[in-house]
Amino acid sequence: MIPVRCFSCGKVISHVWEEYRERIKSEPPGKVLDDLGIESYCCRRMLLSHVEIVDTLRRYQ
Amino acid sequence: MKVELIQLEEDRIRFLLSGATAAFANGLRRACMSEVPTLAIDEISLYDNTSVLFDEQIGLRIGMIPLQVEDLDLFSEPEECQCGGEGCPGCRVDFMLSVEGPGMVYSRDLQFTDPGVKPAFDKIPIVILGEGEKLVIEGYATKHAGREHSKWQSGTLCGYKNLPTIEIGDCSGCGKCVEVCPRKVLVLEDGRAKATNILECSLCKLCIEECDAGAIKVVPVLDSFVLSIETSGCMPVKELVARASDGIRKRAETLDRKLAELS
Ligand code: SF4
Ligand code: SF4
Ligand SMILES: [Zn+2]
Ligand SMILES: [Zn+2]
Repeated sequence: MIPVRCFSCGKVISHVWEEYRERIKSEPPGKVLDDLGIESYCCRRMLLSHVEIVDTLRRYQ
Repeated sequence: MKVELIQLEEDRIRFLLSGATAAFANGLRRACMSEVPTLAIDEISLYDNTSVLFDEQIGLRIGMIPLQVEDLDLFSEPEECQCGGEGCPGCRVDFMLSVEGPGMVYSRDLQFTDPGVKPAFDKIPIVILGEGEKLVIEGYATKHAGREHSKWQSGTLCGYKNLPTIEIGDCSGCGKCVEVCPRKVLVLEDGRAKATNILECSLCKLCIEECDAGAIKVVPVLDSFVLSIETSGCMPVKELVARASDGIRKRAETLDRKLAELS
């Protein structure tokens, strides 16, 4: 699951995760982040580098 | 001391503070980050959690959700409450969360008993539930400041820099500084470099290094600061800065009183 807030500055970033994940399928991630108001690079790397593994984990429940 | 507003939005502010010391600017910054109390979920009881996340992970995620309160002053910190910290409606807000999968559990699913309390963001994902998975939680939020734990941090990105001044002397108009400036502060005008939106200058001094003629000087104004403050969403930034300054004033008054008692 995407962390609720940015590790470095504490800004909430998780509320845009689902929209981000959908939009990067057809748009460049940098532009999507600009649109979503995620400006600082500490916050940008949170979304850029996140890999969702909950669905993989579920198989081993 | 003088304050000039540069930019104000719901969640961020930039202002110029002049005639102050760096210690004061930093004091204000730190007060915004760690001294302004707010509500955050503090204790939970898990009745059911068959999701893929551990109980502790769910607890942390729920705690980090900023909460908006209609009237924050109605609540007191448990340590200062009339109940003596035992827990009462004056220092606690109860909530319930009960969801069955499949589907995403969002911050908006938190049901607070007090209608004046709600999550600052509706769409913070808490956990995704698979078919038949369940999450049933009860708990309460308390009021504390950021120095206790980052979940109570009201101000997130808070910083300041000295107000820069840029002096341009014997310029040949080569345009190298314009090219190198990462903040696009400099422009060429009538064959000379000129500083435009000086507030954007980060004092990185790349332009000085680049100028072969040594014509450019970037000097910080030592008693003027550009402060930028952002909130976590728990309160409007105006309120945050007002509460932070109020806190500083109150602590200064306490110090004053204590010193008077001593002498
Ligand atoms: S100090 Fe840096 S930001 Fe400021 S004008 Fe020079 S290059 Fe631009
Ligand atoms: S690099 Fe120096 S000489 Fe060239 S435009 Fe800038 S200030 Fe003028
Ligand atoms: Zn950040
Ligand atoms: Zn109480």
